[in-house]
Amino acid sequence: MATRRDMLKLSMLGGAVALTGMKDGPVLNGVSARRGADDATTPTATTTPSKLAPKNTPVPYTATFRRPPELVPFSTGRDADGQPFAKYSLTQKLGQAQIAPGLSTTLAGYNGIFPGPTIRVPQGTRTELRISNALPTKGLLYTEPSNTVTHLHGSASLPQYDGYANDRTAPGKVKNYKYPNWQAARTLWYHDHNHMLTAQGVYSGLAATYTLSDAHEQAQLPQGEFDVPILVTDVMLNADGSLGYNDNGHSGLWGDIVMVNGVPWPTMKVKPRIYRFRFLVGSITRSYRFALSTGDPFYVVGTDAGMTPKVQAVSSWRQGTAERYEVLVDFRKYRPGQSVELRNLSNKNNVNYANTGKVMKFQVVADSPSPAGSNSRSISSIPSTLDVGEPPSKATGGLDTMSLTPDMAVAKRILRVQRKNGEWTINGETWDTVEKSGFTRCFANPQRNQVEQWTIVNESGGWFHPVHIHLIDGKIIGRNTNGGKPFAWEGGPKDVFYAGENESVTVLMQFDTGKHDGGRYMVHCHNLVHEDHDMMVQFAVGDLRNNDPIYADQPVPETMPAGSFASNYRAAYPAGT
Amino acid sequence: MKRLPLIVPAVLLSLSLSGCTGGAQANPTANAAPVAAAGESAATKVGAQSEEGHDLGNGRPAVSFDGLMVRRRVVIAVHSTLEANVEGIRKKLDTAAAARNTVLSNISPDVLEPAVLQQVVPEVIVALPDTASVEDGRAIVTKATEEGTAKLGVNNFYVLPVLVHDLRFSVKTGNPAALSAAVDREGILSDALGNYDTAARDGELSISYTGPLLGDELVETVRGGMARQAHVASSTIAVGPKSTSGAGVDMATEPPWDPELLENQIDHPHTDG
Repeated sequence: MATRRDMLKLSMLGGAVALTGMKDGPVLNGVSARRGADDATTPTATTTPSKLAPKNTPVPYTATFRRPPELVPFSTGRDADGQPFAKYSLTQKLGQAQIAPGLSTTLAGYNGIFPGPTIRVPQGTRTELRISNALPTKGLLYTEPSNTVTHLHGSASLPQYDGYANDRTAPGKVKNYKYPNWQAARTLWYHDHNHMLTAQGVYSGLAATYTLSDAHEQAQLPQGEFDVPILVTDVMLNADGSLGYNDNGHSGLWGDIVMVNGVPWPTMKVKPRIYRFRFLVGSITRSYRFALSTGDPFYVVGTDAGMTPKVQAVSSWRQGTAERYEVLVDFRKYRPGQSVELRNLSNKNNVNYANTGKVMKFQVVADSPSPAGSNSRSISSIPSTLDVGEPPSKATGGLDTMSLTPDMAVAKRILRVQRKNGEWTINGETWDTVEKSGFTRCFANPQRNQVEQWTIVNESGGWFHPVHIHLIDGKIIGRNTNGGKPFAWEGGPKDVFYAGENESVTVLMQFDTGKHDGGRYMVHCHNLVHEDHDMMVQFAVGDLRNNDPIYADQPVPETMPAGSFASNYRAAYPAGT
Repeated sequence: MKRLPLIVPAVLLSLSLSGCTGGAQANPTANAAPVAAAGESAATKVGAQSEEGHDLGNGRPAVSFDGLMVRRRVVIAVHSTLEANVEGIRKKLDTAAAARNTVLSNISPDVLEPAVLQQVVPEVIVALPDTASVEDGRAIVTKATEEGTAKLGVNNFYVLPVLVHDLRFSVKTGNPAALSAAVDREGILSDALGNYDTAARDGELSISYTGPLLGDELVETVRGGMARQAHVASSTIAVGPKSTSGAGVDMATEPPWDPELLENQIDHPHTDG
């Protein structure tokens, strides 16, 4: 039996080696849904980490911070019932980025950029994202067709718009994703979810921020210039600047270059004000523990699914892939000219390199007026509590997530995330089990608006698993460490639950589908190579036949000429801010 | 090599381990950074270290904190069904151990060797006291299975010798209770150690840990986690054995775990009612 460490040694010598054999999946949309190309037993060309020459190697804090551009809808208006809508168009295509000095990196992104365009939506405005796949026939990092699936992470979407892993859009096709946006303000993100190749898709660049705002959030937290997206990823580059990829035999990918919004270790100019940072870890595997070089606190005001009722000061926090934490940093105590580093103290079961302990640097500059028309607003003091408002779906039985109590739960379930006989499994099953059942196999079948208590148990060794439960907002009520309590930074609603080595985490959740009847939703590890191979199962809310996630609204051939929908972006903030 | 026969027929799935309790990596210094050629990029230099010796996966990490800080222990791991009555199994074992005046303690499944862990994935695993032998473990299992355990969802029991870290981290401080609270709140130690015991008194915070071997990097993480909140240098955090009595383990001479030994194990599926 080859141990994982043996696999690592092999992969370091020449490439990743498969742990699972080649298997063919069902045919969808006329395209064979074969298992991932990285399952091939032939060595891949790239090993970790970067192979850049010194002159091309990024140097921390020399690059300028930037925010992803904010996309303007191509159409807005109101439906017959008065509900506002906004329609956006995105094209998945190849593009060029400069990550390594003097070299160009080809990526596959939404509108050809990474991160993709930010989309900002007010609560109550429904959106449509027309996503056209204009990628080449073959993938950027694999030889399979570059099919895509788009998941809006954090949205209670209908199953057919939730990025079901087998609901693939082939090159030359387009799918119009529809999002309700009735939920409370939060930081979401949209990213690829193409089973077996999700890691490669996201790593290639298919990831972007999407924010939902509401009156409560706008009144209490910084806005505009002082509301900053921080999408953290790690990559490895080949000598020519192209993306390297090595998932160490489907165990994990650890790059040696840390990027914020696609820029390696940038420096950001900040005014002596209170800033709100929306931290989103978009890494394939790596988890982070963010800390300031000054030892000063962060104030946690938001988690995956919205604001925290109580603001918690923390000197660092642990954040895994796909988790979102919104924090305030008070720069008013610093003088212009001072610098503060954002560092990564790392967590157990990560692979660290020379500069993966660094993330970005803040350079304090003199205060000045915000750009006209940016609706920028900071706040004058750190709040101790936040008013999250009434549950948006109260009229249809929706409950406040952070008010859920164990006695409300109609069922208690355990999800054991396991490394078992060489496979990543949940309760001993994989997505292969679901596929072979014709997509009918469900781990659970709660009814609409019911509350359940799930405990995620990780007892299979030296790995951490950030487990994402689609659809729901959950409240962590217990852990088997930390005195049985959630960590200090976990005081708000969440949809990704970090189960560290030998940890278990207990969560209460309501299956609130809003106005629709539910259907099938996925549960998986958000270490994307674990998800791909094959740590994913599903549950159904109500009748699993409702809202078929694959066939209810299938992609169609793209008939619009390129450029039919202009990509207009809002005015950018000054460079470095 | 001296092999330990651990078989209890029809009850105990045993491994002939020859006292080897490590992972695939034998040499604690194997992760030393190689000398890089002139002109080689920084990225290439750090990359050569890659993952060897890290606290990653289930293999043995690089362990310099050894001697009395590393101990041999005996664990009972239970391979069970998905629907197993975990609490019932644990109660059976506790009752059987109590009959021998033995108290079983919780321990992380990560103390198991990688191949064993992936095969067993135990939902119940307990450690015997540090003075107990493999024979003691076998006797407890035999007692626990006298009335049958299949109804509880048990497939097999494993009685295994393992290596554990038995560490104590300490720092002098004016307010050990406040420091303890700050350390707990930050969560670095929780991530690194899981559960740990705290003593905050007499001007000192002391944190004790018994569990899977910690790589040197992880030991430094724990020291750093305490030092951050104590506002002292990491080197100020003392690391030592929890006890100075008994025999420790010299990791430099400890033979590596050999996965092939598992291939030759005798499998005794549990069949009693």
